[in-house]
Amino acid sequence: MNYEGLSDGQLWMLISADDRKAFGYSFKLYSKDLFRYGRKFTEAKEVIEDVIQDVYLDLWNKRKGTQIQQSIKFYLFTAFRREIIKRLSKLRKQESMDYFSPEALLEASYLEGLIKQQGERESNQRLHSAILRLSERQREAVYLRYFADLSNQEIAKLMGISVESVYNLIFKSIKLLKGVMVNDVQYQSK
Amino acid sequence: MNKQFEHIEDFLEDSSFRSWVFSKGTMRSLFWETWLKDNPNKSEMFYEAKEILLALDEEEEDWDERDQIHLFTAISAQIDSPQVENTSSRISEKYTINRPRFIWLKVSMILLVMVVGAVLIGSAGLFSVEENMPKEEVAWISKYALPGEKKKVRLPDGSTVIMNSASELKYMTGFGETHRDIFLDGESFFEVAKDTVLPFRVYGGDLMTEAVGTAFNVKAFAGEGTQVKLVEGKVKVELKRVDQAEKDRVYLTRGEQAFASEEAFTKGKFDLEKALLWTEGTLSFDDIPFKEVITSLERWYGVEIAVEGKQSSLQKVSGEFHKDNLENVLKSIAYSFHFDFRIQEKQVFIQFN
Repeated sequence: MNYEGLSDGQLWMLISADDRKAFGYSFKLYSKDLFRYGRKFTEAKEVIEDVIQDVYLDLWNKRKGTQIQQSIKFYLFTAFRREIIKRLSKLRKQESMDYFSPEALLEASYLEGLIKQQGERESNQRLHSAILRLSERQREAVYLRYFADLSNQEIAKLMGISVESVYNLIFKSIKLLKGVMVNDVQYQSK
Repeated sequence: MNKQFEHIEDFLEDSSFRSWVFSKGTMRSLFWETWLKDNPNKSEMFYEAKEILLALDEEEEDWDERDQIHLFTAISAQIDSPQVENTSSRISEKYTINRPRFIWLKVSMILLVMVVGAVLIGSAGLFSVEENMPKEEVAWISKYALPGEKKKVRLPDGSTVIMNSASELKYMTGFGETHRDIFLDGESFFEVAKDTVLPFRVYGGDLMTEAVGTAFNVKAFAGEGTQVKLVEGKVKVELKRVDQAEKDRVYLTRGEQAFASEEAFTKGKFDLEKALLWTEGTLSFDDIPFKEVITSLERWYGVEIAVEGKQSSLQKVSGEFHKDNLENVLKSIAYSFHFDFRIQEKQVFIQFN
């Protein structure tokens, strides 16, 4: 059976009817996005994988009872966000500092980024350092909008903020990124 | 498309633009290339939008595909593990002591799967000692990797096992609590979690391998002799013939292997780099007789291979195939062996000229 043309709702119906392949397909579809999403919260791969595992097991266990209101994807993202925040704050209490993305880590990846980018255009470097200046929430919103393809409404619900705030988060992020590029263009034209 | 593109945001917000930027190679639709030709005055904005997306994308780190597959295998294994649904109801009816626990467990579905296994294993072990449980209550837990598939399995004690195709692992309830004995048919790579109290023992073929915290590979396909390769740490390997009381043993250090066949029990060295290639999806042959290659291919791809015509029994195969399909592998072997082949679903026919 080919699952590719199925709507989210149809896929969910198959999963509710114990279709393991449909379940597998939902993993193939969304688990990568969840993983990338997890990176916005922590560097710890094991924690992210653990949460993905729990979220999918939960989805399977609930297949009979749960009404998926919006979409499997939105359901997964919501459950994932809730669970990873819970997990990380618990770990934080246990003082396992390495499970977080502290400044030091950001610094390192920033430097790595710079080294990686050497030889490429200057604007690209500027873009990368600008991206690193985005706040955690800005990055989260930008990721959800442009990479996970969620709507502003969905993002608002997921992050527990208003649609307007989502719009603002993204707008300000893009403005910042655009800013470094405009500077670049002016610089070149001089 | 009537849409106006006046700002960078208009591009970014457009999902077809995004998928055009992120798509690679042949799947790329021509729409945006055409659009760009038709709107040369907007090219600067167009490229800036593209650059922003690509820069954002570079910040993303992709999930290793192998890890993704491993995780899904672990999820499937948990869904499949029989003790979760079946045994839980049976035992909770029988032993009322357990009931409150299970009621509590039902409250949280996430915990249900993760914890029931451990609770059951613990109590089953307990009961088997105290109440002389009937044999069928001491459950065997089996994990299979079918021909053509590989599996990563996490054991209750935190050890991980990568199972090669056509292999089976079996252990009894209480694993990680009262014992760490595991039985293998086929080939698996073990990464053993440290536990100073319970030794980790693998029974495969004629050999028993005992380790405390270490990584090693055991290959024990019926009728092929048994082989243990040590990658890390130290293990003790014991020879256990069914019909003999004799106990022969060797100790292995990194890079050493033990091999037991019908005729002999020997110790030697092996190539560390090549031994674990299979765990990464690489099929490798190092001067292997044609017949053995055929057996490996059958397991690896989950097919049956029929060989006809005259073949030289002396010829040997060397080569490495990384995540390659069967057809390509056969093609390159056929090239030096001069045979024709035909693949019909799960059947392969090889005809020597």
